[in-house]
Amino acid sequence: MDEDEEYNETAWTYITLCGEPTLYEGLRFAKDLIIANVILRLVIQFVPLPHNVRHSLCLVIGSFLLYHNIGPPFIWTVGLTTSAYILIILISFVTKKWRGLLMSISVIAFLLLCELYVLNPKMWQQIRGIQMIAAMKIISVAFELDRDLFKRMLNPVEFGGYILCPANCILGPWISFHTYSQYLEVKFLTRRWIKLIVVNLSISMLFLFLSNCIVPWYIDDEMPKWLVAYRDAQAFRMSHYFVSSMSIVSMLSAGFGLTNDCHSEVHVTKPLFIELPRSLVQVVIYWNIPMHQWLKNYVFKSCQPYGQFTAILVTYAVSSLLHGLNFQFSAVLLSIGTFSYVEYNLRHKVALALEVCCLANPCGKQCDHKYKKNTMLAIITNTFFSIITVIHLAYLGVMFEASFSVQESGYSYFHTINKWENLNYFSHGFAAFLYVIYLMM
Amino acid sequence: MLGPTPPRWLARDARQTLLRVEAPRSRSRGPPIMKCLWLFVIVLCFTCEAANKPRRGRGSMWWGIAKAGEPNNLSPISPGVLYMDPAVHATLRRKQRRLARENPGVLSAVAKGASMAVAECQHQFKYRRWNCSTRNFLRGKNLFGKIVDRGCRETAFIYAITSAGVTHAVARACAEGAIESCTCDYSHIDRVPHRSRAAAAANVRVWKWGGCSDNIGFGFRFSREFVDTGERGKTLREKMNLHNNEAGRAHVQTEMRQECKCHGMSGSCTVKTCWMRLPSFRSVGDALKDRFDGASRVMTPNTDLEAPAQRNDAAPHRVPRRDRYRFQLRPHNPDHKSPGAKDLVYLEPSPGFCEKNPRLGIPGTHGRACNDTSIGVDGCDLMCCGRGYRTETMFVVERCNCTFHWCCEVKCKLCRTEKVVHTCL
Repeated sequence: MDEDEEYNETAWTYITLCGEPTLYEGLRFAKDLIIANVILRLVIQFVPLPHNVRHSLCLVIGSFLLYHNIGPPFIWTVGLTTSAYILIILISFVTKKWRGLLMSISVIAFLLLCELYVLNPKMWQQIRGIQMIAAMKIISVAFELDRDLFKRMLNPVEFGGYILCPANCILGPWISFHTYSQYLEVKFLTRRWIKLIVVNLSISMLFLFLSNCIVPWYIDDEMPKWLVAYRDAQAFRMSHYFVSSMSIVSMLSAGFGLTNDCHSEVHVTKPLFIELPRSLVQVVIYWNIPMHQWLKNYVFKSCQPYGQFTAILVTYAVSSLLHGLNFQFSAVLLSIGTFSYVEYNLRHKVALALEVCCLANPCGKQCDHKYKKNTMLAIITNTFFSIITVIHLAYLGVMFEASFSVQESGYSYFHTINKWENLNYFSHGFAAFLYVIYLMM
Repeated sequence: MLGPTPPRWLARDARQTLLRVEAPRSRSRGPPIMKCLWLFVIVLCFTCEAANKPRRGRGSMWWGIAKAGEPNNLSPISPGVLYMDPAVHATLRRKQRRLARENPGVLSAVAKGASMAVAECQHQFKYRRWNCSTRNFLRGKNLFGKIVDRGCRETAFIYAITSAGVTHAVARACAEGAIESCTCDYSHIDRVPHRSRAAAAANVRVWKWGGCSDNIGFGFRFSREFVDTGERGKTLREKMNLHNNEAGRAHVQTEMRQECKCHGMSGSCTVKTCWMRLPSFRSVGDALKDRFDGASRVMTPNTDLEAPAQRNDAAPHRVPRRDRYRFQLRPHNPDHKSPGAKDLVYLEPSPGFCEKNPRLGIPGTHGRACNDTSIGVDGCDLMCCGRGYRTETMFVVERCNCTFHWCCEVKCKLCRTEKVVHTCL
């Protein structure tokens, strides 16, 4: 009896000791984000301003927010924005067709050079996410210029306002220039707006609390290593949900992503579809929906003329390079790519053979399989594939659990290999095994 | 110098008699008179002790508070408010009582810390000849017995572990909001953390961390005020006590871990959240036990330090509080290096703990359980000091086959097992 009481007490102490500072810091971070964005929205809403002044307001508030959050390194984001704009203008004199490609190459090269030669690892880890968002925005503008989606060339204020917009310059999500421009219009705001912000803020705090305090605690270190791997991967996923819902908070507080009747229309991630996944393909789609759309729109579609395989390969390479020159990300992304490829094809064959609805993506209305999704056979096969996906996710996500110094300064090659070696490269072996089955079927 | 001096013992006995006579009377009278009487008794105690220059630190009587949670000592009528039996309260010095009054809720934390320290001490020394046994303190004796009169290793450990216990328990109570005067001091959040210099060198913006993480600071400061009361750091013994108390606190403080986690787009570190985690008291106990094994013996510094100390006893001006921690003890063996902030120090070799020694309050190892297969200190050879041991076979009923049920319950069966017990003669 005494031991039980002691156990509960220490658990509760741990949670309070962890929870309070965690929530405090989370809210402190949210506070700056919300204040900056609400100021932007209120000015837009109540002061009639010409178009360009609105963009410059965005630019100024965004720069302030960036400086407040990351300090002097914000110069790198501003530098990236300015040089990218100058480069676009210069390239426009030469060619009107290859701007997207050239800009992608130069922006990614800039990021890699920053990482390798200029910035120390800690600073790079700190601003990497911000640089990534900026790079995605720049590349999307360049491609849209190629596709003649703009009536004229963007002026510097529009461009700067788009890249440094406080609503999504820190945590994302990526939005296209046209959406951004549309969001800057006056909105119909009701009390619902505040409610939406509060609800999303609470959700993000819940995920932060889960990620920091609950998930690392509820499975003990002495448990089987796969449970520990699942726990670590889940803590990382919770951290991603926190960042995603916090990005929604920042979007909403700027009045972005609201429909005309004041409902939220931004979707960044779908935790339920990832925690209880149907397939790895779905996880990839729902992990970061705007990023997925961006890759599909600007990378995959641009490369499609050169063949499906090239397109996939380039998409993978770009998404990997955007994360920087890091073995861990390349390895994780490549593994996800192969695992989902094997899964997609295997499920296709299984669906054909058993005539059951078990494709990687759920069948639409025109499902022509004999066994629909609610039949016993379909449920069993889908559950089987779901469990495999959960194992894959644990295997892939365990990478991101690391001591703080590693998290802060980037993951090394040995860190990645150690983690996988600990799990005996199980998922790789298992994927190979499934591939063999696929070939034999 | 180190031998017992008769007048001191006489005076102590006289004090004990006084306590015994006064205690029942005070209960029957009204509070003001009681207060006066207690004041009188305490002043008398001080004068006795001051006049006779005890070697034992005088601030150690509060250890008795560890037993405050036991029946008879804690009044059941007012839950939440720790009502002390006057006899327990009497073990506190005036300053300690003031501290307890000014920080409501702190007294139960101190009591918890003290009993935690006693339990940890007994755990660490379970298999040694000296097993950190405590005795009834109510008769005006010290909780750990007369062993603390000697400046030996065991005493050093007692001082360190109790000081660490108070620091730990107060910090924890503070974090849990059980102490009213300890609020989360959010005004100091923007103060740069310890890592700042290294981080600044790396040209990285120093991350600030907030939250109620400064509790350890409160625990540390409170422990200094409460535990070190009366240790003025003038005599060598007082210096030893101060050093060991500081060592105990330092262990709690340095074992405290800052845990951080990064959040950001795809594993970057845009948002950083940090929190402090108190070490488990077991790890503090383990660390202190290591220091116990490697404790350094220090020696009397040159006599020029002793002489002013004697004069200052009566002098009105005191050593400024902060200065009393500023001293360096010299190792007994000049070839050894000086003790560090986390090392335990002692003055004289430990007495033998084999035989009963009433003068030092040593019960001896008669009747202690031992391990006949071990060759270490818990083995029967060493534990029984060569006197031999008795072997008995007995049946014990204990919990077994415990299984963990999620969440959070442990279910056990009761098993009757045969056990061979060896006890020292």
